[in-house]
Amino acid sequence: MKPRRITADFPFVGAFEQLREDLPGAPLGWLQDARRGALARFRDEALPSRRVEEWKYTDLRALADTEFGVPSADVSDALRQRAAGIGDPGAPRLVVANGRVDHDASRLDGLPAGVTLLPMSRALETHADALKASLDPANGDALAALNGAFMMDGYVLLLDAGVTLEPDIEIVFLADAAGGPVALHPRNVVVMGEGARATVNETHLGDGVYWSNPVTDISLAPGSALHHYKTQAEGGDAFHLAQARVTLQQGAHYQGFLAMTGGRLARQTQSAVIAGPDAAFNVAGAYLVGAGQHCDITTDVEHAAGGGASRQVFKGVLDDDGHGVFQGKVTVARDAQKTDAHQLNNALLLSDAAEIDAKPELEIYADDVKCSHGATAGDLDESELFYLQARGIDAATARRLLVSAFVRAALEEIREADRARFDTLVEDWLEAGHG
Amino acid sequence: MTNLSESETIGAATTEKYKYGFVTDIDSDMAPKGLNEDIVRFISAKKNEPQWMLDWRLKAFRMWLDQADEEPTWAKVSYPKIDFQDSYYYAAPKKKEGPKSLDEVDPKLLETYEKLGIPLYEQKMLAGVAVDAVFDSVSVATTFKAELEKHGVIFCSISEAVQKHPELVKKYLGSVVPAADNFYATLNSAVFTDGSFVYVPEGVRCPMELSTYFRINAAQTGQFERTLIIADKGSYVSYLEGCTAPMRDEHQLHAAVVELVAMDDAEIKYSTVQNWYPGDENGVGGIYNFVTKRGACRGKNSKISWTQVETGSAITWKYPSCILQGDNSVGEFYSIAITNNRQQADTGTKMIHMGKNTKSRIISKGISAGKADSTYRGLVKVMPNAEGARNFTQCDSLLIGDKCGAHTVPYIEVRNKTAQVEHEATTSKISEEQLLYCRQRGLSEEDATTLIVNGFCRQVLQELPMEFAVEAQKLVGISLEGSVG
Amino acid sequence: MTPILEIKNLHALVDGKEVLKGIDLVINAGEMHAVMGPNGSGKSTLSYVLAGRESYEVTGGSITYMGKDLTGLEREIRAREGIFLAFQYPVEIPGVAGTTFLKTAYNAIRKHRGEKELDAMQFLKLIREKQKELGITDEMVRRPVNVGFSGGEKKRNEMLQMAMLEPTLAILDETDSGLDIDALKTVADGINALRHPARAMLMITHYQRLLDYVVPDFVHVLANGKIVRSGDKSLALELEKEGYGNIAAEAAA
Repeated sequence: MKPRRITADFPFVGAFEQLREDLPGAPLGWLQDARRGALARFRDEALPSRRVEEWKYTDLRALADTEFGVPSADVSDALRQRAAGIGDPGAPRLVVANGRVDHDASRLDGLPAGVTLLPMSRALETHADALKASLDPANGDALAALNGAFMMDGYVLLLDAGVTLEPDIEIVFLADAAGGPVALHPRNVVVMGEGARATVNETHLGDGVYWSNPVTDISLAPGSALHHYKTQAEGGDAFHLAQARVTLQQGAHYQGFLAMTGGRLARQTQSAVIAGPDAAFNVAGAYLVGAGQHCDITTDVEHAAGGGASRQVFKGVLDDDGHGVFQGKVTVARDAQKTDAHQLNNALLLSDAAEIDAKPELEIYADDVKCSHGATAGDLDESELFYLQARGIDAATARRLLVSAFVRAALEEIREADRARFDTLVEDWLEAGHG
Repeated sequence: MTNLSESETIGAATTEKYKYGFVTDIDSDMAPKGLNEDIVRFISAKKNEPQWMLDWRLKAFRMWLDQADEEPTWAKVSYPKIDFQDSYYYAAPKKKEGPKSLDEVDPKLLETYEKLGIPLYEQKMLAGVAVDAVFDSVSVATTFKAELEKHGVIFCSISEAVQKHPELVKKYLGSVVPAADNFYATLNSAVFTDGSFVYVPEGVRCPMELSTYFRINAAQTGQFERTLIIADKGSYVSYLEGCTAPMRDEHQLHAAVVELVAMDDAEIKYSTVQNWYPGDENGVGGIYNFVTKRGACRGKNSKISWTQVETGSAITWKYPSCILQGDNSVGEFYSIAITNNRQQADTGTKMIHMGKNTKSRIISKGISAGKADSTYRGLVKVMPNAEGARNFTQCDSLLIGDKCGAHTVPYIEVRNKTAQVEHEATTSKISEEQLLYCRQRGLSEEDATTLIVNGFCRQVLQELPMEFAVEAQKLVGISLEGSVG
Repeated sequence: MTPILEIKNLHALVDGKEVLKGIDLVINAGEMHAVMGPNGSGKSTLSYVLAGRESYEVTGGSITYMGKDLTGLEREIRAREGIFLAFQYPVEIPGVAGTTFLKTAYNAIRKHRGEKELDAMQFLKLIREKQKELGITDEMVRRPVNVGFSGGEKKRNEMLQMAMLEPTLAILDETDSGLDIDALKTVADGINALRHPARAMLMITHYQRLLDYVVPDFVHVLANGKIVRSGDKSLALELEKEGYGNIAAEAAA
């Protein structure tokens, strides 16, 4: 029988005791204990193999075979410049470079009253008590526990009740592995008070062989609303294994968008618990996967309270030998009556060697619900291509138009005003030689 | 036409309990309890098998021992661990000589069939059905052989085929479901007792629907049938399988293997109405139905169609599948799975597209009531060479009451860009509006529910051969009994 | 003679809100009554209360049907006793053929009456006759109940069911809604053909236009949960001219 675990001997894991004094929150005894507990869990569980159902389609052996070490503070100017060009230059921003906040590139002043936006290291100095409730390093799977043991700078966003955060904020994660493979474990916490509203843009960039393993915990109080847009454009040799975990109380609203184009092996796990009645969890996304890339979107939405809605719409475009994975799970608990859950994954295969694996899953224990899912896979519609060409459009342009239109339907899930940053997503990807 | 008989059948259905729960008292010729190589030898000896067959079984048995820790646990079903040593692996009705005609068959057996509503006599001739009845483990009566022989169709028990057509059995047995395919199939390969064998020669359209009824009768007897159907080039056969079992307090294991092979331009239609004893309202007793069914569309333009109505068994674990090897071959899976009380069903299909322009269609209707759980689990896989493959899948679940569960777990794996794969699934309940509308027209709540559920299942019911469709509609009503109100 | 329907001081709640606030209405055999009123006046509530829909709670007064108390009777028993509600929005039942549905209902009602159930052939013969009268094709009755039907087809299908089930009391809830003039005429012909000295009909409508084709014996105006005026067919014409505003205002005064 094949083993359920992949054991790996990462250099950075061995260096835990030396490292921990430099990690955020070092003086906090409870946190040190929690980090140790989390590490013990990771050592115990190791990396999941494909025998574990949740990892059936994503193989972590290549990760295990890489000797990831401790990151240095150096990040190239080229990367810094790219970071500076993201979003509105006047917007509040937090830049994290190789696991440490980059104070020079960040702009955290001028925020409205009732808004706290800090790097994790700073927040653990000023808001340790508030964070204690939201930080459970050992919580989650083995990868989350590993993040818990080594958690580094990420963003902490705390909103008081009734506060609306304006303008939208920019969070940028940079990774530079010029000195050899490194592992990064950004830890992010978002706590929204009752009726609070915010929009967070997150971007991930980097160069070299690195492993980014971010964990984001989001807690939405009754009536609060978060728009959370993530651009994952990691370097071509990167491993990106991210998890976002959202808890929604009564009437809370989460709208996410994931634009996944980077990395050699990327996986976004998006989980949500609808804990209070009438809450809505929506996530849409596009994964554009080219040569040598593997991209996995895994969602796990649990309707624990009634009257909730969840909606997932994903579009995958697979080129060359790109491998796409969509695993979507919706669970509706016995008491979660009147739940309305919908899930859709459409995959476009542009090449003979491309591959898509989809597993949209429903687990339903309440009877008065509306739940549906759909999944499709196929090439561009030949008749549509022909139609465009018959009107004088050249083949390449016709393909570009059709691929854009295909992805567009996911973008339409988010507010019109928020779509701009993703407008050229497909075009840029196609320009870069895909399709 | 069938729809006009619905109200009569539904009317009858709603007043019935598990009407097949009777035990026939016939001295069984039993193997000692438990499982070891000697039991395998005992079974083989009882059946006067040639050495090659015994060797095949023993090989499978040794592989099964190696698979000891591979008993499947991934299905969404739960049950206490099975003690494979606490069961009898062979039980044959005692007989002096093989019956030469139906008159020689034990009248009690015939009575059993009568209660099941299996007409073995003239009326069946009129209906054009040939029956190979598997009673516990040994085929006791096969009818209409003459008519079939005239067309060159071989339809007999697998034991008889081992004796009379060893070249066919050697060639095809285990060619679709290898001896060590999975835990239960491996067990079956070692200890299978009997089952049906069908060979339809080139160009022959089998002149009648072939039918087999299974019953698990002896207490604590695992039933391990093995069925092998081969449709040679350009042939056609429709095979019907009905299953019932008497009521017993203990759980009984049923681990069958069915292998289908369709050559060029051949078509096999395999229909099942599975009504094994489901256990009582509290989950006491009932059959564990762990079955491996797989068909290989080996030839070009071949077609295999599975239709199943699963209303019985305490636990069902079953995935009738198609391996679409031949270019332009077609696989179909039409399924109704109804679970009530404490039943658990984890069922679905696998469609493996290997040949060019292969097509598959999956229509699954799951109905859960009481405290039951029903899961659709399916795989659609398009291999790199399967240019132009097409799949359409629709899985609908209906929940009746708020103590049951309905789950959908499809796996879709596409390795060829010219494929078109579509999967849709919905989960809902019977709407208040529909119930009100029916009741305002004079239907009771139970009748209205049965009617609406039958409507929900229509796409599948209409795939069944006529006489089965009526039976199946009745079963829908019986199975849902006590689930409303 | 006992009236077919006698409603006295009927009060009813929908989702906890009082919608009917004291309705009095008597309908005798052979009579056609029209209940008119603005949106939200309680018209549809009245029809659902008579048909026994769940979540419609009678809190006061009485409904006597053929001399017997109707409240508390199961919905299907009301239907079998001869109450037919032609739905404003006929419900779609996928997969269930129209003939199957209607035959099941028809035989349930016959059985209730102690009559012999019809077999498939007898039933088909009967339904064909009725189809002919209403211009309904075989194809339409074979299709799943109301699935994919146009508005007009749905209403004609309701008329076919009514013709088959031969109710004692027919309640037509907004039967004219969503129909063009040709469909309206067809449906009106269907209703008129079913008028019978032994049958009572209650027509619920917002607009007067149906009454051009189906002439009622009595017209009642329902406003704010009460019948505020009753009269003959001329009342409908008056409403057409004046609108509901005045009458509602009178009622409030």
